[in-house]
Amino acid sequence: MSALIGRIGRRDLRRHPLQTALAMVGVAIAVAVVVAVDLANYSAREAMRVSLESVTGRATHQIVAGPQGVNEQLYTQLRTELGIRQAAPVIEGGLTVPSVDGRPLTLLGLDAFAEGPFQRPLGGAQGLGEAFDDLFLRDNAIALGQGEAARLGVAEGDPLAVRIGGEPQTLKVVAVIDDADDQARGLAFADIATAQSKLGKVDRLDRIDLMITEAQVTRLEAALNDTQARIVPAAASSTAVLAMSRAFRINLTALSLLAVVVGAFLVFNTLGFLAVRRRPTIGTLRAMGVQRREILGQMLGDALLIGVIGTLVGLVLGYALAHSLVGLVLQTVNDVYFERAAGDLVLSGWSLAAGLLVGLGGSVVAALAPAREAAATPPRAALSRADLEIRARRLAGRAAVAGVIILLIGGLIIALSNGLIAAFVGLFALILGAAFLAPVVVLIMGAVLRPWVQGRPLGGLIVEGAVASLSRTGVAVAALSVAVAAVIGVAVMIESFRGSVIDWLEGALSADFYVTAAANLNDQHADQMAQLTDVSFVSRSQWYSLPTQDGPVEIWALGLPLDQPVDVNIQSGNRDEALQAWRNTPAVLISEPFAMRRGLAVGDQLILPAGPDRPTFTIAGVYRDYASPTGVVLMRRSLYERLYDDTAIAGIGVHIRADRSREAMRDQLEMAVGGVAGARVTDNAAVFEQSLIIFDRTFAITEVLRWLAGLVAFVGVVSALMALHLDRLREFAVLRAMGLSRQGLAGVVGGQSGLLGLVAGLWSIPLGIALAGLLVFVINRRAYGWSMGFELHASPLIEGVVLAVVAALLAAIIPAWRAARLSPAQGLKGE
Amino acid sequence: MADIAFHSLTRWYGDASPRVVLSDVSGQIRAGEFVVVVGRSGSGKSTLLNLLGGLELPSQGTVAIDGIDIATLTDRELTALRRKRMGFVFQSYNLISTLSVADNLRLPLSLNGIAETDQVDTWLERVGLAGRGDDWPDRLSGGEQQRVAIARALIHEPEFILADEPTGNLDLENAERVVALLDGLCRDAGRTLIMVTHALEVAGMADQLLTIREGQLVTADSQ
Repeated sequence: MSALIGRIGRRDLRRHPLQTALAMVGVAIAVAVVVAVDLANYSAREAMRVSLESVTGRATHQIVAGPQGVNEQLYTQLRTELGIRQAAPVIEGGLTVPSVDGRPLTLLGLDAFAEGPFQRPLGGAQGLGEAFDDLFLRDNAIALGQGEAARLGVAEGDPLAVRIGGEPQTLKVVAVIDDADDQARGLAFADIATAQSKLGKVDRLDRIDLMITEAQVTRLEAALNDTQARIVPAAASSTAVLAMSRAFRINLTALSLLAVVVGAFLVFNTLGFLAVRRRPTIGTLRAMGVQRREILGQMLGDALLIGVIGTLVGLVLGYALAHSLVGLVLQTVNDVYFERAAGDLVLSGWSLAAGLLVGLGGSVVAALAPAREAAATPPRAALSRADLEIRARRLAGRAAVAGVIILLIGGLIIALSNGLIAAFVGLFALILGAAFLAPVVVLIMGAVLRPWVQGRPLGGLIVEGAVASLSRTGVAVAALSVAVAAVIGVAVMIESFRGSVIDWLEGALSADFYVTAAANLNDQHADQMAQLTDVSFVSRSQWYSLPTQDGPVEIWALGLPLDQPVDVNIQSGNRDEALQAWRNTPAVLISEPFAMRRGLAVGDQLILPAGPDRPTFTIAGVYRDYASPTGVVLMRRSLYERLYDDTAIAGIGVHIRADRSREAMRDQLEMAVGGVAGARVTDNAAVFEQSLIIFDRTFAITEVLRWLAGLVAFVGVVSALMALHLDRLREFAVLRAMGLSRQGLAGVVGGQSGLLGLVAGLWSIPLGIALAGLLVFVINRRAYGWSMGFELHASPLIEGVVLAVVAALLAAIIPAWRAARLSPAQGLKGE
Repeated sequence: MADIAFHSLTRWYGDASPRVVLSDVSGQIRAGEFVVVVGRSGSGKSTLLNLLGGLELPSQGTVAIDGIDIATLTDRELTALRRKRMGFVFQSYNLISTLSVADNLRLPLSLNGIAETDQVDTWLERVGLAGRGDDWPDRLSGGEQQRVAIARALIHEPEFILADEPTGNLDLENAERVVALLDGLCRDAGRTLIMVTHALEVAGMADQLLTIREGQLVTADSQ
């Protein structure tokens, strides 16, 4: 391509700055969304990884035991009798700092002498320097990382008031560790003896971290054979947490790609408009002997120019946006997956590369069709606009056929695969197929409205104008309907999810009050409450995170009076049989996410380690549960007590008799647990409310992303309508010459935009419902294992249509303003 | 019926280095006259027509209809003036491609709030296109499209018809037919016809001939 031909293209872009700028804005927003989501995902993953590694260090394996922990003597035995030198004892527990909004910290009790090879932030005796003696010798002494100390507003030598198990305690900061990467975020280090004393775990260890070879593992397993202790891979826990959050991150990426699809429409539309506008010039150039490939090169070069500028702006915008998104993503991660993930934005080369690929690749790919169309211009002055539209109508039929085929392929992919990625491929096929059908929808609209506007020229101008400019209106309706469908689909999904969560909470929170005190309640407290006159019965719950080779398994041990059934919503398996088996046999109930992640079904056998044994449990039923994305194994408490030798209770559910005063009951319960450290009595309504607050918070990021996709679509509609109305400037000038007022002309422009918005809105309804169906029945099930009801109300559909119409009317403001201030004489000259 | 008087009409474009396209042109057009404006390409004749029709306003000078300077009218009044009292015919026909032939004719009636009886059929018959109302403009030949444009300009019975090179895109036969049609339809109803043209043979049919050269009126012949 000669420089001169390239210059013709670039000059054309400069002469139409608004159109060019809109295309660049579309690319920029799409790139920004992709980069921001990718950076936020990456940062959240890094935060989780760093937090996990700060606790496990370079340990390869861990020795764990039951809920009571590992006997301290085993550690001595390991180092002396078994010759394992690289072993470090660990105690872990939670505390909160009331003066910093109750900031939660993990108190990590370590043996500084043994820490060296594990390279945790504490860094062993050497890392502590002069503070080593203080940490080792003084009671209540802790060490903090630099970053954490700054967050807590404390320095070396300061006291730190905390609550451990609800009880107020004062610790002393004896060392602030050099921690450039903030790896010790959320951690307070103490000597093992201090941690044991503070956390009430004297003579016990939570685990022993090891750095050993596979041969040593085998030898150690044999040695531990007759004890309660077991050996598990150190990475199992962190791998499980990262794997769980993967589905969430895939969901976010898919939502960000929606913005890319809409952005591609925008580039396609702009380049399509360029191709039409340049037809006379291209025809002349072709007549002068310019080759098709040179025209193709000119058009693709222009697309690349739009792409480069849009992408560069998008990368900067994306970086800025990521700062806001990372907080939302981490909030969800902390609410749902991992409570200590905290960090700042981490730059990732891959995220920036993804942005570049999306921006530049997307621009060129979207420009291919219009560029080929332009290159095919015959070497004469120009094809008429009418010729182009006749072609567009013919192509609309073919596009519809292609759309139906794409929809069928998408359906097949979903049906034939169980994977999450396949589900998203199917979802994008649905979006693409519906977009391909949009031009035919415009033609159908024209056919339906034609009898109504016959004999009404101004109505005809609106309706027939929309049909006659199908090459523009089809793209506008496609872009807008896809974005609005996403808004409707996600809204219906969230509404369905929320409805199901409310139903589930109403069942799960069947008790009137919940009394909690981590590790400090027992059967005596429960019996005392059960004997209160207003109490009907109490349930007793203990939670235990059982370490296994495949990561931790959450066990919920539930004790109920014999005459009370378990109040769970059985989704798979016969309810009565399942509950009967659960109560009378060594059977367990498992939650849907657990069943999905482990590939288990009713009747399958589940092996859970219990001390030296590996008992097998029959799965009696699968129940609905939204509390834990990892999944839960619900075990009869008597069975749990026998297997894990744990009689502690973490929570007591108090069911009061009908017509009894709740306020009086609360007072009685608070008196009953008056002496228990950290005990709390919570009304079920408060738990209900808090649960819904967390639910809504987890969807905040989803809300942001769908509105960003909508923003790209809005820019797309502005661009498409502007192209449409610029095409019609001469027609508008004729109307003005004939005496149509400025307001009348603005009305025609606005009316046509509003009509197109209405068509896009109506078309987005079935598409949005289908998207919601896919999200509810396929994607959420495959991503998280959650089943849920489908709640379809009129409000999100009406909101979607109103949104489409309002967006189209807003998009018409500039074209209407330009049309209204058009001088008829200039318009007739084509200026 | 009204006269049009124009005085010292001047029109330039651009502020920094103005390009003067019409300079100090004065004259009068009486009601019912057939006025032909001739001149070379770029001489300013179309600009004069636009100024007389209120499609643009002069940089200096006045255009008065019924003694009222149209530059003093608001945009709304000027638009109403064009809508009710004027009809335009353009070289490139400028039919609305998204409206049928009949709807193109209905447009001025609709804009003026005139109830439709049989005007559309009557005018289609007058321009020799009876039965073609349901056709789309792009199905018609150039001559046929221009005849539709003439019918559209006349259907709401305006006082002034302004035609900007209406035969410029037509062959000789069609050009003669269009001019004869315009002349006949205007004279029958006593309408004023102002036509810009290159065709010197049309000049012979005019009541008044205005010759423009380099933006200036060089002759104003009444015949």
